Amino acid sequence: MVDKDILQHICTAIETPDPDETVKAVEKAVDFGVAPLEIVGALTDGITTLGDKFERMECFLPELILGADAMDVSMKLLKPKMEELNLETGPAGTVVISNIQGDIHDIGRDIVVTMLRVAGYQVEDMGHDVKPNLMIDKALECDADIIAVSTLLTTSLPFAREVLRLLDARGLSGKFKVVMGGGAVTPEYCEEIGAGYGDNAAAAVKLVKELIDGGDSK
Amino acid sequence: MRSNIFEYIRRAQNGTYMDENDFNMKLFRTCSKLVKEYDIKFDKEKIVVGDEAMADRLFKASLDLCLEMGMFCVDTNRIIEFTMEELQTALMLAPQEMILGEGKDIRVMRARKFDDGYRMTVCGGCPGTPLPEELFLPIMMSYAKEPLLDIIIPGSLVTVDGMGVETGGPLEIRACRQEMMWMREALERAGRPGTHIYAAGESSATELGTLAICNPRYMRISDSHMIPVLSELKTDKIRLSRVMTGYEYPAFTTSLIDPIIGGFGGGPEGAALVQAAAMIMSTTVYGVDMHCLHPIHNKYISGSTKEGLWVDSITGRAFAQNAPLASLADAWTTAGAGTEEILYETAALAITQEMSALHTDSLGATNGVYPNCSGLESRFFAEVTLAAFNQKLTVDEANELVLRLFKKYEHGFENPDLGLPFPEVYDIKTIEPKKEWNDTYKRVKDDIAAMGLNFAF
Ligand code: B12
Repeated sequence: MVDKDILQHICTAIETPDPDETVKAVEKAVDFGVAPLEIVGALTDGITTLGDKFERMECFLPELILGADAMDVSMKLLKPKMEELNLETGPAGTVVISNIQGDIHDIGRDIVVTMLRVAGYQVEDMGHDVKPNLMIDKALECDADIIAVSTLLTTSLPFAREVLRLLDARGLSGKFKVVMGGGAVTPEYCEEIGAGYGDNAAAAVKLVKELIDGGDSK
Repeated sequence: MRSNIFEYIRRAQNGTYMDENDFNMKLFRTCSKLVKEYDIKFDKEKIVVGDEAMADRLFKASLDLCLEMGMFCVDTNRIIEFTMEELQTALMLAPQEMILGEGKDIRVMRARKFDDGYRMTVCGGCPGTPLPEELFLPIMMSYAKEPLLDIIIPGSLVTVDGMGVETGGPLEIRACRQEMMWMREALERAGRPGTHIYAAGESSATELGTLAICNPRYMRISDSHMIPVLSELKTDKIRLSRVMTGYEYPAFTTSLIDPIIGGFGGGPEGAALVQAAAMIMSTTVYGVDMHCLHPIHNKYISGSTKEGLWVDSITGRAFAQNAPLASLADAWTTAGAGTEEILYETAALAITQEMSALHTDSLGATNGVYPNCSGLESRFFAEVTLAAFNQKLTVDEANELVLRLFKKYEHGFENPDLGLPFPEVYDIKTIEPKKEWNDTYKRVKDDIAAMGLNFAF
């Protein structure tokens, strides 16, 4: 019964979202000896509800970011316990993302980044107006699974394609999956240049999940 | 130039340092606090805002927001801070009347107030919409041909001689000059060579294109160019370079303000607050003569959402009552040319803007993404504003009408009907609407007339 209350507390705190309260609740659960996997389950339930609320416009981007922050801190807190028990603690995969060169429309990217974090991915967010080669350098540096490119400007599309051309030129074709989105990108364009396409943040998460879980990402 | 631009550049270099994420989250907290403190409430049944006291409170809250947040420069991570005196001086100096254009094609652009006897200035065009090269001139001619459109805004050229334009690359220069050459040609062929071109140089995402057109062959000083505020309450060196571009080439300038509803300001109330604060900041830092307002619905983008209409309506009222500015609201629709929905969206936007002391920055069919646009829906926009004005609609009557119109198009948000590309709705030789599109227009106009709007003709 106590366990159930504690878990409910975690779930509500992250759904609120209140990062401090979430951490307190997680600490309490650990002190009471609740199994780490159950704690992760409660955290996941809470953040999923928050994500659904965001989709329905019942909460806003900053709240989703707070929820994702609460999740991050809690997972760090649980890490030693999970390691003790030989449980998997790593992220579900790593995604390098930016608005490509010339594009500064970052709201959509912010949403995609947050939804990916909520879904448990490690996200290296390089910001906006990023040169294609720098994205590749970053992907190598953090041993990423996916390079995700966002652009809303048709005039920045040539730089999006350049990511694939440079991967080829640097002998890295196939090392990373490349996915794209944002208003200027179309599914036909992605098909033509050999990238994955996502229409919105939920589609971005689905796409990344398919590509990583599909097992052929590296 | 009204802005003390050198001082603001200095602050962008030396202001307080802040992490961008911290700025974003501080904005959310500050907006949430102010929305509560000033009791600002979105009511989805009161889209055309008549609550004078709430509009006054929004204005006061937005001054507080400017003082608490400042404007963030993303290149330097520094905050440009303001004093109340600076903000109020800038608002006081903002132009109340401008002569746009040349010769007999001039139009007077006013900072609107309620009941001053003037109606809106109507801008026609397809703001920033990427247009195929071969269609640029005919599409722009379809707007130039409409006498009810007072001023014209260009679409974007994303290829030049078949070559893709790259952001910041050499073709941005060529694209912007070509855009202006075709705009001039369209206006000359329609016999109105002096008409004001609003937001000239749409084909350039950087300052390159704007600099390239500072010559009377392209952008005249009686035209205007656009300087965006980055969402939310941010600027950068490219935007400040556009301000500097105007320092010795005094064409008119307009801001572009895109608060995200559901973004860092919060819901519609926070977005209205951010929009109002961005208007004050861009008047102060950029010294702009006009404003382009464009709230974004974070799921559907469109200005025709209830939230989008309300945000424009309350901001329009707040400034008309407290510090009139010449503000042109974007009228962005989900649907495209050729559909009934775009006309109902147009009517809802037109009535709301006219009743909220705003001007229009014209229609962005399909939210500015596809070239599914034409002069006819812009004409319709003008006709609706004229009817609403002549009929002296009350706020309640206007609101009721907008709510009824909303029912006619709301289904499109989830499943948009993007309509048809220009050559399918217009004859591209005569530049006249094809029969089907004209019939649709007449049908919808009759329907809206039956709802109680008295069209002049
Ligand atoms: C807001 C906005 C701005 C703001 C941006 C503020 C900011 N910090 O982001 C400001 C005012 C600064 C701005 C400036 C400009 N803009 Co603008 N802008 C918009 C607008 C109205 C909305 C964009 C938005 O935020 N949408 C809401 C978010 C939530 O949606 P989203 O970005 O599409 O993201 C979603 C999906 O696309 C997807 N997604 C996004 N990224 C990714 C990545 C991956 C990997 C995946 C899978 C999915 C995915 O998931 C997201 C969440 O669901 C669009 C219109 C439109 N139809 O989109 C024009 C638009 C994009 N802008 C346009 C233009 C022309 C400009 C300017 C050149 C204007 C000017 N003359 O200066 C400048 C260019 C600045 C630059 N260098 O980038 C054009 C682009 C035309 C084109 N195709 O090239 C558009 C289409 C409008 C228009 N017709 O004018 N703009």
